[in-house]
Amino acid sequence: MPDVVPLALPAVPTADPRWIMVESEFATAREHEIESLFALGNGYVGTRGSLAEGSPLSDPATFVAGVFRSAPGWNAVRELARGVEWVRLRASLDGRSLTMDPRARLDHRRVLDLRQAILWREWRHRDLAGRTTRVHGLRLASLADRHVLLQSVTLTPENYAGRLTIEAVIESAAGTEIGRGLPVTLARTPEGSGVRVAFAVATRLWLPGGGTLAQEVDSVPEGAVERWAVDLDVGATYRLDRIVAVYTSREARDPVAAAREHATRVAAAGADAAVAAHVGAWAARWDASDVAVDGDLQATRALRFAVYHLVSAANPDDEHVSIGARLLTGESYKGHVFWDTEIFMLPFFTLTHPRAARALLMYRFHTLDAARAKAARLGFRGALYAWESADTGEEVTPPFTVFPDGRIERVLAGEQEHHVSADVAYAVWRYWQATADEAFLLDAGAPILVETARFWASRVEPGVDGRYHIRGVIGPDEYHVGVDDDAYTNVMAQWTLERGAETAALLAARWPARWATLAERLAVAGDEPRTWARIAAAMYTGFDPQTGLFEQFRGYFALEDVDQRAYEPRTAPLEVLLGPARLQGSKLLKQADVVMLLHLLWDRFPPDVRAANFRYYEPRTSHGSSLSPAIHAAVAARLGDVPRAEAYFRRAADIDLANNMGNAAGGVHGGALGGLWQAAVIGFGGLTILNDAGPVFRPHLPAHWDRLRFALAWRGRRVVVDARPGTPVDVGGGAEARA
Amino acid sequence: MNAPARIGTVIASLDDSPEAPVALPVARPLADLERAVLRIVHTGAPAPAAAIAAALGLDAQTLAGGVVEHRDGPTAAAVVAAAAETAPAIVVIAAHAGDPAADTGLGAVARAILCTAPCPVVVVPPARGRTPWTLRRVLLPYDARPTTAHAVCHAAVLAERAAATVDVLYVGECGAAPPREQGALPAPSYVDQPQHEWPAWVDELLDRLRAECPLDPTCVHLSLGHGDPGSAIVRWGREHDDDLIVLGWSGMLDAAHGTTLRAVVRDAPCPVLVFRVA
Repeated sequence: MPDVVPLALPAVPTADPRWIMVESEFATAREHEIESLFALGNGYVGTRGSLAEGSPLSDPATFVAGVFRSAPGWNAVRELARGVEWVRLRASLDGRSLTMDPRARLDHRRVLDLRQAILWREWRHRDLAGRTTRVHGLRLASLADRHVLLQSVTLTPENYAGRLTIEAVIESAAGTEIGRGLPVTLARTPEGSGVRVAFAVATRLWLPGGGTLAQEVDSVPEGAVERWAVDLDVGATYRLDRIVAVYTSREARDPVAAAREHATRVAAAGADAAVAAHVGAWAARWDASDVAVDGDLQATRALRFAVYHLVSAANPDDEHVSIGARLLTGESYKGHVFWDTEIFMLPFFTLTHPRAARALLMYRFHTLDAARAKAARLGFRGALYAWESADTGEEVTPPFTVFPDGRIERVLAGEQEHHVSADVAYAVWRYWQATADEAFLLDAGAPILVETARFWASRVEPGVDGRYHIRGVIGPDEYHVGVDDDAYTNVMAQWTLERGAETAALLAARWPARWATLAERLAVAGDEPRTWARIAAAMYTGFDPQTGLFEQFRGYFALEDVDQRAYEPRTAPLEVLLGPARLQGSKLLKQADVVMLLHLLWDRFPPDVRAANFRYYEPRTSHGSSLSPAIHAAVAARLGDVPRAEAYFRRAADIDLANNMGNAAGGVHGGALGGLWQAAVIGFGGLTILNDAGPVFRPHLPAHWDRLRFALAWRGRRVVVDARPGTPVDVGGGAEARA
Repeated sequence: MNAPARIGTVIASLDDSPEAPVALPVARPLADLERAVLRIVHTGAPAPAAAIAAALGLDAQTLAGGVVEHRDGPTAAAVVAAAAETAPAIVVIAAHAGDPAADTGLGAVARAILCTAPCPVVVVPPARGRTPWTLRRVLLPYDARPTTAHAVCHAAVLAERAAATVDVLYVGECGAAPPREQGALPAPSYVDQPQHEWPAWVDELLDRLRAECPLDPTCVHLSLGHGDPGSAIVRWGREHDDDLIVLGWSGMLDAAHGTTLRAVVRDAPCPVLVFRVA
């Protein structure tokens, strides 16, 4: 560690308003939301943006990707485990702590610096005696070195001298082993996880004249505490650096030793070097994935907020974890992986960070056995992925919903929401199209495509009409359960069967030896791919050529048309106000369903079919899912209905930024953030991937957008798209522009 | 978390109406729970304290540590003045003497006290008579606003001292806009995956409530009702045999305001403790 560090923080906050989210007010009740929005992560570890000194509603939490515990309780399932809480700091003057008491708060500002992925804090505190203390701080989860978390805080007594006690507290659950000596180590195996998780904390308090002050270390009931008593000089600045290294037994035989060695090494190089490396890593990521709107500050910030959290959630170096619905920013959804990842987030990674996309798809490859087991358990062949997946890929959907009115209902999604298997296949194919990653296709992609096609081939039932049907499912519209021939499910199954057959043909033609090996390993019968193609061709889709409409599921058109506007405004969801039976008997949709098909398979449908279905289903959609508004924005934009698209875009952006679904406290909505990126790039940017011609762009920009710029990766090339109203789109980097 | 103000006095308002004494069986245990002085403010025909006590049938146990005083002038003015002099206080009144108003079920005196008292007011339905009152179960209707939580935080003290359970009731409705207050957490307009969303909302709402209102988590249950809030609250109170309904109120009772308050004080099966909400 250097002998002297400059007593300013090791980086400078970004001032550009297009890159920062600022929280100047402090409302206790919103703390959980703020902690989610201002969370930091790097795909390996995530930590909520809690106040260091805490508040009555602080809920600091740190999560390590892939570490799930067995929770107790009759309705419990595996859930993301909490690590130690490493951000706690207590400073006290004459025994009185510095707190966010409004009487003592002069100024306070928290800034999430999207460009540098740093959470900044500026705070001036004046105690009852009039002593004013200035506190500045930063916090990050290193993207350059994913095992590292870092906190740096400067403290300046503006108008007094006196003795200050600083305590750096590391809170941990019961049963944590706390190591002796420095750096402080804490290790624990969350119950049922089988994974040892170790944190090593190297903390230094730097004095104004250079050098450091040694600390006392104590075990306390809540964990461990490092303590300093320092005599402050008026106007002098003191800096505390806390470097935390995290390891698990998944990647280190002795995670305690690995964490200790790592923290020591990083601390020796100094916090400034760690921060610089982190900022550099983010600069590279932004270069590959930035999306900005000239003329619309809010849109730019919302999009960068989305990109920030998506990048913070992915780890391209770990193919055994995926991204949960709330990323690593909160406990909601228990860290479980849904179709959100493949359908809503994957397009971002596939087109900006293919290595991360590949790792995410490999998680589905590594959990194929669990998907095969689920299919077999339900009497089918092939692979049926879990509706909710954790570390092993087994189904972890909670068996029951407990409603606040005391009702308890079985959750049917785990048994009936089968479209997830098509969704995974879709993501695999899109990745293959965008990257031409042959190794992936041969090793992992093809087995997934074969096993999911095989599942659908066993899932369909031949009807007396000579068509194949899929009965008893839940589509994306989860208001209607146990339906037959859900259009989304059937068409996506059809598409998966086609891709299965295409994959078999492609491999047989280009890599016959590999295909032979794979076919033998997966026991693919000689005529099986032809059967998939035959079933696909005869699949019932609910499409009526007379009207151009898909019937969302059999019998849908006969349901009651309920005007949802009659229930606005309201302070409860439609499920409560209408009741489940009326909802099930109505045409109200929870989220994009047929419209989702339009979005995913745009070129499969002629323009009049796209327009007719959007016109029919959009007014009947309640957007009871955070995933819905962004997809409606994308489809409306591609249809040229830009004002409607923009309204949906704002609504999607506000899911987290305005907490407009009331549930941001449990973490940000990864699917909605990925959807927002798709609304900008696929919707307003008009990106369509043509099978044989790659990406084409037909932008539809809101009138007040001067310019939409974004970067993409396409088969190893960086593509920069620059769209302005009224001028041909400029595509740099080699992709062909098509007006 | 704010510390609720310590109540020093519980004022029972007694005039000469036959319904007025229903305040006493509530005021006495309430004063005990508050560790406050019971102050019986008598209005009507002037009389010495002993005579008032005798006329009301107050035994030594009921009066223990308490004060009986007669005040001249209109009852509402006398009680409000007493409350101002002994603040912080709580006033306990019978809902009405004689014919109640159709909208609120309140008599003119009770309405005047409710509208002008500088402190929380307990409105006791005359129908409960002089049956002994014990606080075992509290119904706390909650509109999910931090200011409401702040206003009713004193209820947490009462519940804890009485070892009572607290039913927090959120009522969702059509035609009402979600509160715009920062930190308010009405039931979500939409529910993504209900198996995750509902437990998360319950936990978060109770966390936000407890940030202002120090309720023992082991004694608090949140429930969700829907429909007209006043009716839903009264129905809940009846069905669950609640001993006290704690209600936040804007302080306005004109045609456009106080709909819920009117319905609850009119139809409640138990005493209603009304706190002013900013």
